[in-house]
Amino acid sequence: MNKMSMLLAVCSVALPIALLAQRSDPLQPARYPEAWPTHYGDYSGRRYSPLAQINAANVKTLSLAWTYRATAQEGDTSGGEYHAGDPYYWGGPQATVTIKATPLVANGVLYFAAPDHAYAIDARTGRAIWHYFWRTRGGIHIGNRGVGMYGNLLFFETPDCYLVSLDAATGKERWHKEIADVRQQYFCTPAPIVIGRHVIVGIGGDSLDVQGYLESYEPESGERQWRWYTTPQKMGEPGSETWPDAYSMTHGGGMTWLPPTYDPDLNLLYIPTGNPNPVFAPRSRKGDNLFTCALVALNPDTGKMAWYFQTSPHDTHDWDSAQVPVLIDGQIDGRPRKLVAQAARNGYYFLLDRTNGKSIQTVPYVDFMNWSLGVNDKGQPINNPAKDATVDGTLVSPGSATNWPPPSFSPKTGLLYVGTSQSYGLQYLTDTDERPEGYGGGAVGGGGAGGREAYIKALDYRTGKVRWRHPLTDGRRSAVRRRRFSKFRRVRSIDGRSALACRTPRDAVERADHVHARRAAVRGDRRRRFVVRVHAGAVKPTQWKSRAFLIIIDRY
Amino acid sequence: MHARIGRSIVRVPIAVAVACLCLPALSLSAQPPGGRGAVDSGVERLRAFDPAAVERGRSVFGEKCSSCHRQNARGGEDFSGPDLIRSVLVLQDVNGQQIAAHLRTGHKPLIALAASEITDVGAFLHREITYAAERTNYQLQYAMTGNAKAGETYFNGAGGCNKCHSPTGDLKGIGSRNDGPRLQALIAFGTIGGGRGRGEAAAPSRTARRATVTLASGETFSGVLLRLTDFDVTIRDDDGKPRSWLRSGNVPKVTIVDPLQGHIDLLPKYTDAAIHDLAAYLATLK
Repeated sequence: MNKMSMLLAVCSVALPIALLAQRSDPLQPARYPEAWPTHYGDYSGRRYSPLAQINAANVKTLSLAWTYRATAQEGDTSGGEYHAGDPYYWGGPQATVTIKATPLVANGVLYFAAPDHAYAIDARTGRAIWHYFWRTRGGIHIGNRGVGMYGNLLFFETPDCYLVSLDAATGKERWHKEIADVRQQYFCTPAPIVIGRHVIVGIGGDSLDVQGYLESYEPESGERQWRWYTTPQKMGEPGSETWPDAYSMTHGGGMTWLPPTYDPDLNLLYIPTGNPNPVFAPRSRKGDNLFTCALVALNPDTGKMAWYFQTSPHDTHDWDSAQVPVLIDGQIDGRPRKLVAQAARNGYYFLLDRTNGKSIQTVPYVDFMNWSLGVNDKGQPINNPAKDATVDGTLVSPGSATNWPPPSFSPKTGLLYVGTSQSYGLQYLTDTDERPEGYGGGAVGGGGAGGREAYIKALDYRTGKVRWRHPLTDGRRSAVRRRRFSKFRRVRSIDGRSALACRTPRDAVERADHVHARRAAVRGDRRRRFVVRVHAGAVKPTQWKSRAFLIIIDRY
Repeated sequence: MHARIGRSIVRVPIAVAVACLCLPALSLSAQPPGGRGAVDSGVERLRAFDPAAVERGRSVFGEKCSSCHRQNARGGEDFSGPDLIRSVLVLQDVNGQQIAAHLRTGHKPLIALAASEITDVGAFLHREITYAAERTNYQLQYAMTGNAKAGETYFNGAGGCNKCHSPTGDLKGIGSRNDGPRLQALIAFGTIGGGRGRGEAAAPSRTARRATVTLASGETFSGVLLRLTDFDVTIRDDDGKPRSWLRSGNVPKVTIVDPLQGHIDLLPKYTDAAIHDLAAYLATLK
C-alpha cells in the first residue's frame, strides 16, 4: 500500500462514530475485530479481541516484522504554549520518549502518544506517517496513555495539561485547550475517550492538594461542555458530610487519570477516581472523603452523577482507585445482570450492578492484607486507622496490589486476568502539621523480602475467587521483576487476543514463552530506547489481507 | 514539614525515588540523586533555590507576614490570612513579580516591603511549596519509640531472629552503622532500598537466592540464582561460571533456598510494635 492509498484509508474513518464507517466502531467491536478504536478497544474495558489467528499453538512462531524507533526530536508538525524565556513548571522537555500508550488501530494505521509527542505509523510496514511535537511548559512527564479518535480527528493530552486535537491524516494541529493549570501542580496522562459528541478528558496531579475533575469537550470546536468535580464544591452538597470543611474538600484531590468505560444502553460512563489529599497525612480530612477512591457513574451528555460506590473510604495509603472498571454482561444466580468489575489497588475485587452501583461482591484477591478491618454492609472496605502512616513507621501490605496496567476479561472463560503484587512497605508520616500538605508521608520498601510474589491471577468474575495464579518468576526478582512484570501485563493489555490464550496456567506459560522469544530476538539492542515492535505471525492470511500482527510496546 | 515536633530527629538523606509499581515514595538510600533529568528531580529543584535568599525570605516573612499567615505560611484556624502554600496566586508567581504586584494593589492591609525583600519572600514561599509537593525531598521525623528490652526478647523468642543472626556476630555494630529507619527496613525486608543484590557481582550479595538444579540424569548443579522463568534457569556456580538450562515443566528440577526466608515468614506476623522494639534493640548493638 503506497502512502497515498494509506492516507485515503485513514480518511475513510473520517466520520463521526454514529455514522462510522466500514472499519471501526467501538459500539460494535465484534463487527470490526481488526480495529482498536478506543483506549480499551471498545467501551467495555474488557480488552478482549475475538481475533483467533494468533493463538497458544502458533504464538511461538511469531517473529519480528518491523521496528519503529520513537524519537524525542521535533516532529513533522508541532504546537505548544511554551515561549522562549518562559520558566518550566515542575518538569520540562524530555530527552527520551517513554511509551505507555495503547495504540489505536484504524484502517491499518497505529496512532499513539507519549509525553509531548503523538505518532501515526503504518501498521504493516512500521513506516512513519507523521510525528507531532508539543513544546511543553512543564508538568511531570511520567507517561501518556494514548489518543482518542472521532472520525478523522485525534485527541491527546500533554503533561502541561492541554487537550490537543490533530488531523489524523496529516498530524496537523486543529486546536488546543488548557484543561488544567500546570502551575498548580496538575499534570495530565489519560487517553481521551470519545463518546458520541463528547471528548471525555481526565486530569492528574496529587502533589499539592488540588481538586480532581472530569471534563467533556465538543470534538469539532473544542468547546467545553461540562466539568464534574470529584469532590463537592460547597458544604451542604451531597458528599460534603464526609469532609470536615470546605477548605479540605476543595483541596481534597481525587484525580481522574484513568480513562472511563461506557455503557451505551444505560448511557453511563464509569470513572474511577484517585486518592484523597493530603495523601498519607489524613488528620485534616476526617471522614470518608467522597467522591475520592470511588467508582462513579456519570451521564456523558450532562456530567451529572447517576450513582457512586466508594471502593476505599478515607484512603490513607495512596491507593487511587484508578483501575479499569470492566463492564461485564453476566449471570448472577441464574439471572442476566449488567455488571461492573474492578480489581482495585487496595487488594479488593469489587463486583457491582452497573445500573445502580449496588454491591454484589467484595473480596480480597491478594493472600494477605493488614490495612483493612473488613467490609461494611455496603460492601466497602473499612480502613484500619492503626495502619495509617506514623512517624515511627507502620508495616502495610499489600503495597499496591495492582495499578493502572489494565486487566483483561474473556467472556468465553468468565475470567478476569489481573497482574497482582503482594508487596510490603513501611509507611512513614513526615508531615505532622495541623494542616498537612502534599503527600505528607510515604513508603519505604518493596524490596528484599518485602517485594513479595507477583502473579498473573485469573478471577472468577462472579465470586472474585482466584481460579488460578501463575507466578512471575525471575532470579532477579526484586531488581527486574517490575520490568518483566509490566512487560507481561502490557502484552496482555495491548493485545486482547492474549487474554483468550490465557485460559489455563499452561496457556499463560505459552504467552510468557512468546515474551521470552521476543526478548531473545532483540537481545543485541541494549540501548535504552523505546521502540514499537510488531510481530508478524506465520499464520493463515485472512484479516489484514496478508498477515496477522501482534502489537507490543516495550522499553529496552 | 518544618514543624519538627518531638524528640531526637533523625535526618535521612533522601535520594530520588523512581516511580515504581510497589512502594515508591521514600528512599533510604544515601546515594546522590540521579536518574531522571535535573528539571524533573525534586532534590535538584530544591537546590536551585539560593539558601541565603530563602533564609532572608523566611526572616522577613516571620517578621511581616507570619502573624496572619503562620510562620510556615500555611495559615490555619487561629490565623486570619490564607494558606500561601496552596495559594493560586503564589503558585502562578514567577520570581516574586506577581506577589509584588499583589502587595502593591490587592493586599490588605498594605505591607511595606522593599523589592529585594519581596523577592526573598518569593524564594522562601516557592521553596516551601517545592518541599511540600516533592515527596522525594521529605525528611523523616523518625523518633525511636520501641522498647529495647522487649525487642531483645522478641529477637530471641517469638521472632526467632537468633536462628540466623547474632548480636556479637553479623549484627555487631549494626546500631552504629544504621539509624532507626534503616534498621527497620533491614528488620522487615532484610535489605535497604529496592534490591536484594543481583548475584551478578563478583561477590554475590548475601541476600541473593541460591538454586540447585537437578537434571533428568540425576546430576546436580548449585549456585547463585541469576534467572528463573518458566522456560529457563540460569545460575552462577561456585567457580563463578554461569550455567543455563531450558526448562520444560519441572525438568530440570529447580530447588531454591532464599536467605531472606525468615524475613518473608515474619512479614505477615509482625506487629508494628515488634518492629519498633527490634529497632530499639538493634540500635543498642554498637
